[in-house]
Amino acid sequence: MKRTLLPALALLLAACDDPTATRTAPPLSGLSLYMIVDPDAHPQVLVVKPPQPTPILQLGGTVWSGAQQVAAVTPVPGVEPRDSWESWPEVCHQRHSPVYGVGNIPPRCLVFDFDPQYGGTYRVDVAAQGWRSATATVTVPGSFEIRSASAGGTPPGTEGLQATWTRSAGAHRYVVALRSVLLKDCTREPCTPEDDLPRQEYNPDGWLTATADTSVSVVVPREGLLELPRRWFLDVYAMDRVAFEYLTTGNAAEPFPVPPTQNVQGGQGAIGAWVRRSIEVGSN
Amino acid sequence: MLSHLVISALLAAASVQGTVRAEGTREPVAHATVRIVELNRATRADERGAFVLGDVPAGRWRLEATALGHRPYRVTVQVPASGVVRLDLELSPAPVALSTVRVTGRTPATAGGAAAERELFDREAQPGVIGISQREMRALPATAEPDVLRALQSLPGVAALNDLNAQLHVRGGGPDQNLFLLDGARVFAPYHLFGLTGVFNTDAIARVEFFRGAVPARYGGALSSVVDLMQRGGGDERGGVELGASTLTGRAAAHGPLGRGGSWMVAARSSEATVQGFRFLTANHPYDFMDGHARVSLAPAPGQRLSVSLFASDDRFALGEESARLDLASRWRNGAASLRWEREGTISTAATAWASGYGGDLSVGVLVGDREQTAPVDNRVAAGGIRLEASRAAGRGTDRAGVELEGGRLSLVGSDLQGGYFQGEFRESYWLPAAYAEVERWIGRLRLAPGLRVAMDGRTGSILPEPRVATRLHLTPDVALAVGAGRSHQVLSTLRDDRQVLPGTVFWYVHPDGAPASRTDGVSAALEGWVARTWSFAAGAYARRFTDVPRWTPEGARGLEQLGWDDGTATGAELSVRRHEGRVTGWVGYGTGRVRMRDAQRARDYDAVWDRRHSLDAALFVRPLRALTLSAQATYGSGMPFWPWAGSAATPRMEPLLGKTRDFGLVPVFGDEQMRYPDYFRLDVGARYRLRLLGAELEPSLSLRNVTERPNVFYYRGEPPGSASDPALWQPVTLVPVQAFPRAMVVSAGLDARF
Repeated sequence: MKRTLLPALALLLAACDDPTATRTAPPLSGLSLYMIVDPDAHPQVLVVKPPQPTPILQLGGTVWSGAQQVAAVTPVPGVEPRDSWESWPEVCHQRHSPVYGVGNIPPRCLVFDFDPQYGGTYRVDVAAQGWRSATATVTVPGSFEIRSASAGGTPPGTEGLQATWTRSAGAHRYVVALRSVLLKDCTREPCTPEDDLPRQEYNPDGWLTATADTSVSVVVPREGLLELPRRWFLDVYAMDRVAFEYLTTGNAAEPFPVPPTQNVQGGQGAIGAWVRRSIEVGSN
Repeated sequence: MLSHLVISALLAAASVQGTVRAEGTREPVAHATVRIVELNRATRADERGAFVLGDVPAGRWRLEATALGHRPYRVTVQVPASGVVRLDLELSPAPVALSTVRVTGRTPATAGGAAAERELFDREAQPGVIGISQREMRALPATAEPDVLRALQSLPGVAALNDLNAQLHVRGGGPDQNLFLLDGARVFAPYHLFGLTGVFNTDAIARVEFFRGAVPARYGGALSSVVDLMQRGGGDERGGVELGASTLTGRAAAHGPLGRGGSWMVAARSSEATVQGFRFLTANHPYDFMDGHARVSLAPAPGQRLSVSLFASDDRFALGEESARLDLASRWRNGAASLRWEREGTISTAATAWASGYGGDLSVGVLVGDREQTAPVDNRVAAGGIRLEASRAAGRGTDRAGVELEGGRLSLVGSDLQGGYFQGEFRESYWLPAAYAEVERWIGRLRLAPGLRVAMDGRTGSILPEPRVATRLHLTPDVALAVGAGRSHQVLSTLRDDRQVLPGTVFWYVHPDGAPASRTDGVSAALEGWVARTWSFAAGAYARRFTDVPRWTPEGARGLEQLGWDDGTATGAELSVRRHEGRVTGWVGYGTGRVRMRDAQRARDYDAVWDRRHSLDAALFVRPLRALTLSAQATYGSGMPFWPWAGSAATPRMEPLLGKTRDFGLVPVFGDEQMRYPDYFRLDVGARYRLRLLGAELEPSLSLRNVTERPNVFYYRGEPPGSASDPALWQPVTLVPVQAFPRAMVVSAGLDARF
């Protein structure tokens, strides 16, 4: 018996993998897509990141509403835009660079020329040479209106902020944000309407909260609000689940981090939608 | 063997009655099985050894009485057309007196005495019958203490995830697909030490019946297996006190008779009472636990039994001040009670009422800004049920029917803080009324046992039919081909992210509104048999289909909204050979299987993380001396799959609780391609020696776990190379193996004393 068992045991041990060896995880293999569909904006932009620092060639995409193609970006054979910040369309900088954390390696940005409808459902397909096709489906929340807003104190809201709005069909959460715009001294040069447009969707000096209700009544903490001369706006975003979770989660906090939302088949990333309404609530 | 036979025929009814006693002492032998071989009709003696077999047709029949720890007794009796045949049967002790834990299942595994095993082979219609005696469980090399769940893990077709996990993955099923019943009461989290060991004290357990795949219709509510545990009484013994100590716990148990035919038993253990406590794992000793069992059984009238069973356990874990970074605290408690009344007769009836509770919480420290806060998760389960059952012997077989009502309320409440295990608040009730019927008939050499269970999902009002059938064709008296098939449903599941190894805390929830009940349909077959009354063998295969099994993949949030409902299949084959008696006993079992699931949301297939393709288990027991038992257990398993941490993703952080947006965070992202752990191998050896000293029986024991010191991988820790200066880049990750124990070989010692 010993003659049989010992060689068998030795053979078994020799066949086992080495448990002390370090290994390398297989890299993510699909493209990462990021997009927030905004029916009040034009055009729509889509950020495409590679999982490795390799160029993305022959990149193209289409947007479908049911069986109808509503927008497309077709790659031009032999012409590949350089992946550099300089080559980015301005609309991509304006709308997405602060939201998507593009970092030092510039991703590609596709600009789709179409106007999404409130409540509309769209499928986005992206393909590139050597990559799996990636696709995601998004449903735009319904339209809504801010009914009332009042903000007391300086900065506004520090002595109470009340706001109500109508319900947006399909909205997962409402993000209520205070956004400030630095006042421009119009005595030195003429002001234009664009001067009031924020360059970023989210100002890190603002304040925000999230709710599933259609009203909010809070006292905004003074901490974090700059007291420089500014105009203050109350923004209410009706977000679908993907957009909300992508923007409000992704915390690496131990011991149980929240991995980022994914809704892209054949790749990674998040394609969501929001509807934004804004109203000025004062200045300081 | 001495036996005494008295037959008297009384002109009243055609029945066989009598008492089973121990040879020499004439003490009653409780719970002995008395069977008419040709009719395959059996009954179990009560705690006073009394038995009744009613409605026996006239003829000449072979009567067989078996009881663990005794040699079987067989006699031929002539039963008249009417009247009573009274028998007193005396059983002689087996060579080694056993107080027993018996495990039955569908694949042979370990030794429990050939007679006891053969009795299970003859009794059960389901494919496979297995027994593990308490003596063998104690002789098995253990990490710290003998454990029912660890013993079950060594069976072919049962997978263990890793060294720190005593949960059962039965024939492709998840760890929450096993129904644990303790004297009829459901136990929701039967684990200590975050799942390192089972919660049941083997001192208190008399018998375990382990059903896999083909589950009889009287059981419901779980997809993959039923572990039916019965606490021991005391009436079959003279009473006594047992003390024990191991590197893990201190134990005490006492038992004895109570009145006429009654018995009582209490057993408790606590990690606080140990000398070394938990220090063999960590110097900080952050863990304490205790459990207690009690059972009182009374015989208010002949043929009737009333029993009350109680069980409680409490685990506490706190890791905090020693660690500058991580605060972790957990407490989980089980409580179960049952009241059971039984009446044996021509139509036997039983009524059981049970209540069970579970409370598990897990708190972790998380950084919010610059401040550390606590993110707790609290899980509460309060459940109960009533079961009414009647059974009768009918010709060449038995009939059984019953109704039951199970219901309860579950809550799962987590903090909104990110970094905790669960976010959100979920409270839900469930109701599962059910009725079932089982019929068993012999048709020539074919034993046919169809059954039907019909339950109602109280959440939705939908009817859940569950047909079950088992057949056994005896090719010879010693060899049978058994086939079982059936359907099961389940509406309670545990919340776990299979991509992460930790935590071991169990979080139960009711399938949310609109979510389906999980379902499995399966068939299994096995060729089983005996050779020379000493060896047994089994070769079988199974195929199962899973439908709507929950998968929790938290992304974007850690709530129940992240549940997916997957379908899948499990297939496998098992082979085992076992020697039951002699100086050298033991078994070897091989299992191969595959568990393939379909992620409905991502439209991709994946392997369940317990998909072990090949496993080989062997146990060897040698008794060079009558009082000395040497044992060795070897386990080989091919590597199981896991989801590697494939990189980091940069995400913006707009945190409502912080009150402002922050910069981008780097979050670990699991890959979409699975890897497999290295093969697992472990060899344990142990020794037990029994001696008498000052009227007490002492049994010191020593176990060496993992004597080859193979550093089996517990999990891989991900280390992204370089710095995280470019958050846009998905960084390649180096996976560094982590072992479960600081030292590869673990030495455990224990001492049991019986008075």
